[in-house]
Amino acid sequence: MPQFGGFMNDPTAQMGLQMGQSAMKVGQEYVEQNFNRYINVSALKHYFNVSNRYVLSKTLLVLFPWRHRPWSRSQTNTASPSHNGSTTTQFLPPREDVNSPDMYIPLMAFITYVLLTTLIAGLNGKFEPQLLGMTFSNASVVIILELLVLWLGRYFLNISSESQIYDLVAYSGYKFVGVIVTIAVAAIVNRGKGTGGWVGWTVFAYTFMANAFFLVGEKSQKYPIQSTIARGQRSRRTQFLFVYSYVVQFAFMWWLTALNFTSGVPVVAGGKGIKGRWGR
Amino acid sequence: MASYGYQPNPAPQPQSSYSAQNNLNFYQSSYPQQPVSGHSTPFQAAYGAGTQSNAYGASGTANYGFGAFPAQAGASGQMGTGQSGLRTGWLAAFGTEGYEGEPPLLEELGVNFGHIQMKTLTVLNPVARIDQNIMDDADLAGPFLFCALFGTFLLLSGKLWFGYVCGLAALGAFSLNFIFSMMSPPLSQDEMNAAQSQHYGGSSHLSSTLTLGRSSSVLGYCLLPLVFASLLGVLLPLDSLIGYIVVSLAIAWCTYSSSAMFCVVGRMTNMRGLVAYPLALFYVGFGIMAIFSSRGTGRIDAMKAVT
Repeated sequence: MPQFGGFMNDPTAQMGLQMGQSAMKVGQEYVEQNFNRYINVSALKHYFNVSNRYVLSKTLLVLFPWRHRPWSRSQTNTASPSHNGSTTTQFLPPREDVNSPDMYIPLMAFITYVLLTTLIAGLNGKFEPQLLGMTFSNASVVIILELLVLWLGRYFLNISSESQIYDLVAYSGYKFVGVIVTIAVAAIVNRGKGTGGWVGWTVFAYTFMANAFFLVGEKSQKYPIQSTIARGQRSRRTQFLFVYSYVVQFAFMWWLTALNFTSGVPVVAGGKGIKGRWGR
Repeated sequence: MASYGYQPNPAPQPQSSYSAQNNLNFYQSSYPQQPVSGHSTPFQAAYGAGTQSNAYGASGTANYGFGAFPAQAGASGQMGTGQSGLRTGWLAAFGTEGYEGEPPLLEELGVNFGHIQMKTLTVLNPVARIDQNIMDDADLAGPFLFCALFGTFLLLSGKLWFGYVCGLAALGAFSLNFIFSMMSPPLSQDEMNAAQSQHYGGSSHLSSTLTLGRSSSVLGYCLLPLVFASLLGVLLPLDSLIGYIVVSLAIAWCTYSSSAMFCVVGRMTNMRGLVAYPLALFYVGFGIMAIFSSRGTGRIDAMKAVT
């Protein structure tokens, strides 16, 4: 049996190795527990539990929400395993309920938006790999701002927090579908010269209205306007809902579609480019 | 499992039962000695049986190969010249022999060319049926090679974009692993226990059969058609119509094979379209870099000159 050096067979060294192993194991468990505390993996899995049919019907719903009738999310009464005998109501996963929000579509739409703008910029001859990163950061800022608006609204209007933060993130991502459609149609028609022109604005207006209608439909279910709440607060909530859905979304969608790269840097139409600020 | 780099070996028994029953020892050894007690490399099979100290000796040798212990073999002071098994003499100094019973270098590094070739052929053959255990020894040697080749062909086209290729690959691997872990059905409890015992202090599985290593491995292997497309881009400008067609075909091929692998490994076979779309986006990113790296037909430069 070849001896490869006494120090590995040394009992002290072996003990040190054991301690190192157990320390690493404890560290891993600690990290995993805290990771699960910040990002609830099983809750997130609920949002990705989608099927082909759901994705298709939901995408059509975002773009054509006009005739959709029942907006309420289905609930099931399941026997809760922890309490004896009592039932908890849970919302059905997206696979079984087309009204349930999911995170697959918003995430895919977000990434498609980044790639599509970069591709169109490239077809205009303005490609550089930094564009991928810049567009990604820009769109992330939009998402974060929107979450901030929603969170503040929820805080100030004292809306009961039945809706979790994940639902809000999911809803805020649906506008990317409309933005993608706008950019794609405008690129095809305008030959990539930007989203100006009457075609671009028409499609933008349409997708914006569709998105707003969709959000109002969904949100009126999320924040149920019950009759037990005081009249003043109910009207405030309704106002917030409409202001949010129409005005705020308009601003964000305009920001996302107005990034045109025809001058070589991402420039909001009429604004100063990044190059101007950093002078590079 | 040599593919996981430096990993202290616990008692071999739990490993052997899990790996043997799940056919994780995918490496069908051509060596005369079959693996014993769960060790997958023939060296460990030959020398690793027996007492615990021998196992540490074996793993200690493997660790020397990885350079995990800075101390050399003579640290304990018991080694004299030649006593450890090294042959002395000027002929041996120029030879490639090492210690007695040392495993071959590639085996120590976990580079298994047979597996790499098998996986590459699986990617290249669109009608191949994919074994569920093909990615159990997820190695990254092939993927690194393909990414480096991709970057090299882009360099030969005139653009030094290794950093962007690397960044896109890393970002895509992380996010795709996350998405597919979320989309795959959750692990049953005994699968979870078995995985925990095998991965000593291992990665957080996110309750799925996919780990970051496996996802990266699949993504890297399926990048091969785009490597061919970028090779073509060295010769002819990809900015033309034929270039678009070639790159689109390559992206479709990549997506087809990687979605097949992910569906099999992640057990999501009824969601293949949903699995394919993020993969398509990932490879479109690479395709964009391939197309716009070429010297082009002069159309792009002309447009740049105008504005």
